[in-house]
Amino acid sequence: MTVATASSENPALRWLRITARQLGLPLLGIFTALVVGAVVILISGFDPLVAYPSLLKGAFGSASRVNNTLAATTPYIFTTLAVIFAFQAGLFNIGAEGQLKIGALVAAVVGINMGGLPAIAAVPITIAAGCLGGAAWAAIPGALKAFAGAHEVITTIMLNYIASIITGFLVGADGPLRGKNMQTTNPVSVNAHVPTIFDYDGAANSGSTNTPLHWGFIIAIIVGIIIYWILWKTPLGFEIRTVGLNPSAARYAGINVARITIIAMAVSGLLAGMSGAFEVAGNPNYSYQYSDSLGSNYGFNSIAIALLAKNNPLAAIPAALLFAALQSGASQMQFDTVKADGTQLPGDLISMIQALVIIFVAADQILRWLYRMRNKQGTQVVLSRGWGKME
Amino acid sequence: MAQALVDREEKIDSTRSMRQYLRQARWPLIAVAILIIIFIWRSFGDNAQPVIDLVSIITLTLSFATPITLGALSGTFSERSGVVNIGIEGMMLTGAFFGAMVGALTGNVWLGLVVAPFSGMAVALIHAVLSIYFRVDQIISGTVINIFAFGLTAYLYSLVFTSSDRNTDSGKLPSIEFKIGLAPFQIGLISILAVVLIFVGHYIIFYTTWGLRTRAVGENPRAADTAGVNVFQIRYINVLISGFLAGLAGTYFSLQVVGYFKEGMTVGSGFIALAAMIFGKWTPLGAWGAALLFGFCQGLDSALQSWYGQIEWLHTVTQALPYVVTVVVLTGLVGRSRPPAAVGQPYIKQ
Repeated sequence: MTVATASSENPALRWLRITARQLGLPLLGIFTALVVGAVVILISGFDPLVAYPSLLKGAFGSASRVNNTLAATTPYIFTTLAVIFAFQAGLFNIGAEGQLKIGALVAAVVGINMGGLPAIAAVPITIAAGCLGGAAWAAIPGALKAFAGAHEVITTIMLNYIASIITGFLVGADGPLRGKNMQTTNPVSVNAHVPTIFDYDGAANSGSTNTPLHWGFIIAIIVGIIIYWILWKTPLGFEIRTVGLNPSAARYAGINVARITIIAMAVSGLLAGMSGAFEVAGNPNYSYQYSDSLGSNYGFNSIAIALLAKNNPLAAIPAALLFAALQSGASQMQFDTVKADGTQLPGDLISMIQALVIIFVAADQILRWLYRMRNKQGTQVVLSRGWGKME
Repeated sequence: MAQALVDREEKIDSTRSMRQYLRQARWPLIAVAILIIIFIWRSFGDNAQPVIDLVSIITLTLSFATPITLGALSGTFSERSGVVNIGIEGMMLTGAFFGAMVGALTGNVWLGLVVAPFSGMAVALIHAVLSIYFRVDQIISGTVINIFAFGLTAYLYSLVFTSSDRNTDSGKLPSIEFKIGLAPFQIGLISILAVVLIFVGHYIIFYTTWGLRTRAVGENPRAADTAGVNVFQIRYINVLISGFLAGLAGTYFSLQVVGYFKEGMTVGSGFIALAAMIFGKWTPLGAWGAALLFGFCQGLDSALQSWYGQIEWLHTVTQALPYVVTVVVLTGLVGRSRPPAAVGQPYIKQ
């Protein structure tokens, strides 16, 4: 932890050194989480030296596995960006799941009717519809917070339940939007399908369980960069971050806090809705239709990923990849790691490792304590102090 | 002498806050009253359904309100001492699992009931160490607790039960049954316990030295510290009490209702409990009132289902009711309800 004076240093070297230091602690945190996980595996009577390699193999072991992992990363990047955008305004959006569902459903309804349009128009319209759906749903808690002081943690969770009840009814047994099967709509028109970048074994047409990688992945990365740019290089981003740091000071400085609160929530919902829209229009695993199983647990997982990324939109991309890799490797790990009596290592271990990763990365004072680092005062992620008084 | 004075003022203050609460909650209370009147009226209609409807609504309300009541009380203890606890959901799930596991392995449901609150306490200890000693952001700590508890319970469940053909049945806690007129009235043990604990909690928080210190630490830890109160001790113990109550709340799902554990069986009750805590203005009695309102909305859905079973959209409306009510209530109330001043802020001793 030596702090060199960098006045005479080569800027490129300096950048490299700072990046390395910023990466050092998160990597140490991930490593520590894996070590603790290994202890749990050992205590449970399994061999971590079998479990971890097969986890890696399950996530990246072959072209099709890499393909699946990247495809699973795509929706996580969008929802994580959604959580981060709200965080930057000091808002804790737990409602990404509901916003994703509403966005996906709206995208499906619009996408079904895109038969007459060429793909170049149909795809963007479908995705945009999903974005608007998510944004509108998220604007509700934003407005409730801005005008009535209702805390967004509670309202977004409640709106998650309300969203799933509404969508459940709309595609339920007698639901007006129900397709051929229950819990799903009809598939969107072929013109509205998001084109694939890489289709390992022709899964888009063959019905194999592999997921082809669609353009949503590239767009997710671009959106991540745009969000970074908005937050740190535009006046709006400055206002958002000021409100996030200190709403009273922001108000004193003449920023319209209510407006920023609503905008931040709406953009957050827009990103979550985009995630849902791309799943509907791009993911053949859902047969290009809205399915009620879409997006479950995405809200909480993306909060976890956002914490892992320390609220940085660019870091969200590798963090989402890590989470998706852990999840897509889990079943291989469960399958390979067996005791002599045939008992398999439960794949739910992954949730525990994820929780450990977050705590070690988001709260690095524990790491500093664990490894006896001298500087105890680490960079802390501060989301919210209590329930926030609205004055 | 001075202590007695403070105590008396606190007493006056707590009765005043109760009155204030009743005044502010008058619209929900009036709504509940109107609905009860409709039910009584409906009971004497043409298809002479006896008073059963009303009785079953009361039973269902008390039953559905149970985990929310205990969860809100759990949150009240923690937050009164200045520690935000959004990990209640995870602590509930842990309690639900360990209660069911011990019940199933030993064949004794009572042992499960004893172990469950302490398992919630163990998880709460993690939250306490993270947020008090390490001063981790309490929302992060709570989120981690929720994810961790979900993984831990699912992992242990597969390890203990799925991979072997062990019996998953933990047995169920008894219910007390009696009849009001023709209508059977049935209420679970945990539901009765919850009501008792609300009054115990009210007494502790507003009428004991411990409660006074807890509130002082939640409002102004620096001043409490200056007066000789051990801020860290108060916070640790209150978070542990919170975990104990949340663990107990979890047993409602596993030991009282079904008699086994299911992955993620607490279905967001911990979060509804937090809403009830806020609605109840961080007081046990207020939290109970709010929990009863949520329980009533859930009970209404169950009761209406048997009446209007065919009409799908009506079912949807009543299903969404508890959540909509939460949002509406928060929107109307939070602007006026004030959290403990120091809630969410780690204390650094100077």
